[in-house]
Amino acid sequence: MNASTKIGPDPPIAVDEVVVTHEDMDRAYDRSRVSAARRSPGLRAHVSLLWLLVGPGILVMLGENDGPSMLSYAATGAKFGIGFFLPFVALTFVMALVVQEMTVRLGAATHRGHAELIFERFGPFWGWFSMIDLSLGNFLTLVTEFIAIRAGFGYFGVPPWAAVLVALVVLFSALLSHRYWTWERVTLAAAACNLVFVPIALMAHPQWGAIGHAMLTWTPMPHASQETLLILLSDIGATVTPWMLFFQQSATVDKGLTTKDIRFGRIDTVLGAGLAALAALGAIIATAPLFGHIGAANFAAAQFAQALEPIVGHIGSSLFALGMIEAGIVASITISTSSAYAFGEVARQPHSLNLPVNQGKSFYFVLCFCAAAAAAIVLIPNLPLTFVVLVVNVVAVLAMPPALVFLYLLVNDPQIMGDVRSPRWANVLAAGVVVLLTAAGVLFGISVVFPRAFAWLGS
Amino acid sequence: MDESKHITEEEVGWVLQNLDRDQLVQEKSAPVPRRQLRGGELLLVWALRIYLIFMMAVVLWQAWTAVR
Repeated sequence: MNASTKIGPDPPIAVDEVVVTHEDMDRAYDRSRVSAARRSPGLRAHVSLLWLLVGPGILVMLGENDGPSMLSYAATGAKFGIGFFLPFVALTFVMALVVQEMTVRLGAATHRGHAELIFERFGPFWGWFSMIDLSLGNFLTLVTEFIAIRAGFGYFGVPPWAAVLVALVVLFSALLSHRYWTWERVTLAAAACNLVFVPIALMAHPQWGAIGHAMLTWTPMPHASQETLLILLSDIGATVTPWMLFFQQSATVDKGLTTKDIRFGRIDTVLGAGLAALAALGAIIATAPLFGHIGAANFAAAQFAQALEPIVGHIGSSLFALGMIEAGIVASITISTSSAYAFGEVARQPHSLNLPVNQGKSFYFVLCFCAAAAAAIVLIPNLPLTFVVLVVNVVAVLAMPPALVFLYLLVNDPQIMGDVRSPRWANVLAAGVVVLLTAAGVLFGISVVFPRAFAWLGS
Repeated sequence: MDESKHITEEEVGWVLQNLDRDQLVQEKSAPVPRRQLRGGELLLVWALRIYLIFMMAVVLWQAWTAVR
């Protein structure tokens, strides 16, 4: 070996045919801490190991509690009160858990991102279809994040240009360390603020008896109508979307998780789903007192915050607006990162949050460009922004079944998965999710093409 | 990590101790072997692709009517 060779990209170090890059060194450092914690005995070491290995699962779940998702939950509470939708939303998080667990195993076993695997395993024809779905969905969703940020800041009288500027500054600041670990911890700290919807729900003095009854009996049921179906789809799209598959797998790889860490990856995902479900149910419970007092035209973040003021007070409604800002900012960070990972994987360019800017120019450019373009769009006057918010979750539900089939094929592929391919029970659950999502999409299509079918059902 | 830092033999060994070989950027640059989709799989992915294109048309139509 040549001890005098330099580290860095120009050129990377070659030692006995092993090429080590800056990215490898950073990841090895993170892994050395994991190995040290794993070797240590006792509860403290176990907790330390958990602390080191959690991240992608919590981030993806709280990241998906984004602007349009929280608006969807708020609209659910205001439109339908406490009833069927409370356990239904909890069920959607179980669906998300089933799907996201597969991405942990896939990332840990292959050390490859989702877009990369689809491209290489099934060829560019299917790879490009997946990329088009992801890019379109991600960009539309990013636009809605900035709509939520703008609306949330609007409650405090902040002008739209200043609101999106603050969000972009936070997003860019999270990247400054050029270390996955630091980025993950900063974003996790911001994502934890999503739980602000829980105290808001408590401020609304919820009827615990009605909540318990709804959770056990799934009643009262909503009337069958196109509006109910739209909310149903919107709530599903608020929890399971294609960007989550791409993000969690790429983040699992960037973090350096291996098959030994799958158990902790699962705990991470369960923790994330639990926390996100808590915040989502909090938003529904908080807005349930608005049941019958708010119209469909008022489904914007600032209007919800204003409508809640007589119920939860000025502090509560300010927290609601802050929650919307947080939801938008965290999701804009995770979604733009998911786009940048996918671009790097497909273009075979360096793609890691461990890269310094000069080695990851295209990665950071895509990340920043997506966010800046989406931010600029929401500043264009007279765009039908509220409509975009309502449609984006529906588009996510429609795009999920094709994405899930590729995930299913990959996670059952013995050549790349080895011993950690999906067991039968996981396949049955995944198939159930695909059938449910497709059925919801077909019902939505029928309701649009034959609206009288639903009028008849509801009568 | 300081980019200008010299790496030693020990440090390279340390990286290899802490990372699986297939976690190295160098190893990840090798493509995963291609796999052909078979009859049932191909039918399913095509069916879902057509479903998605049709449903996106439905959403666009609904958007168009809503805007009008």
